[in-house]
Amino acid sequence: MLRDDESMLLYDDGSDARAHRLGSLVSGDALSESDDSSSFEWNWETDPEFSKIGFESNFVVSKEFGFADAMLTPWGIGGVETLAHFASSGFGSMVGGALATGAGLSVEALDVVNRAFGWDEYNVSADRLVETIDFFRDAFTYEPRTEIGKLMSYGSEAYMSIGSAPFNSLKTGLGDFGYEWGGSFGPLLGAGLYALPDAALLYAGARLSSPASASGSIFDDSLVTANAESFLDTKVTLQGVVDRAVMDLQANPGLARDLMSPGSYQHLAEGTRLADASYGKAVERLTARYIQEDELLSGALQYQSRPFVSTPDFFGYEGYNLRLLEITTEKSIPSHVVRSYGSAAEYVLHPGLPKDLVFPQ
Amino acid sequence: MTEFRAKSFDSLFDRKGDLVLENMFFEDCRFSNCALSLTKDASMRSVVRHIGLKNCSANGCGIGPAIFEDVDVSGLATNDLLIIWGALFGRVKLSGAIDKIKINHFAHFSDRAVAIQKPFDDQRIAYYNSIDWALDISEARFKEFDVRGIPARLIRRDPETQVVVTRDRALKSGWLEKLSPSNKLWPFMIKLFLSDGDLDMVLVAPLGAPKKKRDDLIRGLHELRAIGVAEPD
Repeated sequence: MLRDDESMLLYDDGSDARAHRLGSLVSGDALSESDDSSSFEWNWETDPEFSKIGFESNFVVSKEFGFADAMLTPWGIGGVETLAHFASSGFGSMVGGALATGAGLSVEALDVVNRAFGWDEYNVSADRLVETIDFFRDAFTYEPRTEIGKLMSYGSEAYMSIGSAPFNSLKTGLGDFGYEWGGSFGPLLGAGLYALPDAALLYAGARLSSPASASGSIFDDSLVTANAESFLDTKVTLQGVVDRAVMDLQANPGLARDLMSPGSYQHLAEGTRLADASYGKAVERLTARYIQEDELLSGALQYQSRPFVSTPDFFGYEGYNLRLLEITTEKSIPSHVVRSYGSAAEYVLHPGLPKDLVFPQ
Repeated sequence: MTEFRAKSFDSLFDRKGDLVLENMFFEDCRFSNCALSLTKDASMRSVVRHIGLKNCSANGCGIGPAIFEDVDVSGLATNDLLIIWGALFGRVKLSGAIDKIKINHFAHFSDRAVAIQKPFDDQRIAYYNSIDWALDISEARFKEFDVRGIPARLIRRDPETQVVVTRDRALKSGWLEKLSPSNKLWPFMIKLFLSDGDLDMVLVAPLGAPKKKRDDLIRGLHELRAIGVAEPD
């Protein structure tokens, strides 16, 4: 069993090992050893991968390369930005959480929340608490400015949102394999193999944050498996299911009642200002049911709704491609784009709450 | 009894029904993207029997018309509203912090054809005539809970925060005008109940909700009782 602290040796055992690892992970061709075996040169400019995302400076790594130096490199700055991203996001969530909770406890806190959102009526429904937390988290979150910072932050977020358990199992399995079969190189091989899934995700992060991946697909097409053509286009498929859900609700608005809490349905039935949001939730949940019922669809699309966690509505799996899919209306896209995953998400649209639709009560 | 602790169950689908799960105990387990008894055939209900869940979570899960018997759920987190479609409950206890659950009497989320729904309704009526109690929610602290299709007499509840409204009482005139203006949700639910044609219903205050919302809704229930719409217990 490879322990986490053993894998960390790779990071802590000298800055050269770390740089070597990162360099070889992302672009092995760009890493060349110099005549002096104690140092090597990594040229960011000639690396096609990094020139694509705009690096300009050369970066020389040697065994004398220290922590302070590493902090001044793009990776070091990116690392600091990533820490700032997650720390500020956590702080914002705490502020939002405190206010959301406080809104249920005191009129003053409710007033702060209401003013932040322009709400003018008393309501502390769960949906609004979630909105409160999302709002303050997004408001406080530091968004990385450097490409490496974006790469590391968004790559990590994608990694976490995929669900870490299967990846941890994979990492541990690979690490164990290397440890047991690597002979005298077992610890090194084990650590290297253990880190491999992270490397793939770092690479995924690079693809995600590069302009070339505007489609929202985390992995580059070149990494898709040979039989990828046989997989569904999950966005097109999801659009089809959403269209069906919209038609069903149009034909039988009463379906919405069984898909939501009485409080949310009351907004819909009485046409309050939260009616649009409730309708969107009905569309989303009905879509999720259709997908769950179908073997093929549920293998490719996974519902992700998680209150208090900023996440797309669905993950679309296409071979090794992961697409982040959000169901919304065209006019709501701008408010979705500013979310932490917004620039990577693809939008599946529905027309919104029809004006003439009457919900039975 | 097989015990599972701190395990994750991902993408397990019971679409055909006719599955029997029994004599299992789950603690600190996570069910993600799973579905149980997704059948439209009333003769193919899956059965869940002698099962215990303690402090588990259900994320993105769906439950169809299964039969739950002798099930004990103590603490359940849900990422979204956990909707249970057309299931039957016999001696099922929900206790502790339970997030958001909705129990529908419809067996399917969109197919309301009589040929589909009637066999489920017939089974439901026969089943609930044959058992002494269906559901015990008296010790549950829900964030949200809504139930339809189970007779109120078969639901064990906390009379302070979980009240019964009968059709007879709800049909009496004049009570709506006596309610305070802030009491909005309960009369809306009673209005829906009357249009459904059911004989009675249980209104459950969400004890797991934020304090202000929770207190307001409890006050609303007490008001319903004070003016005679809810059963006095």
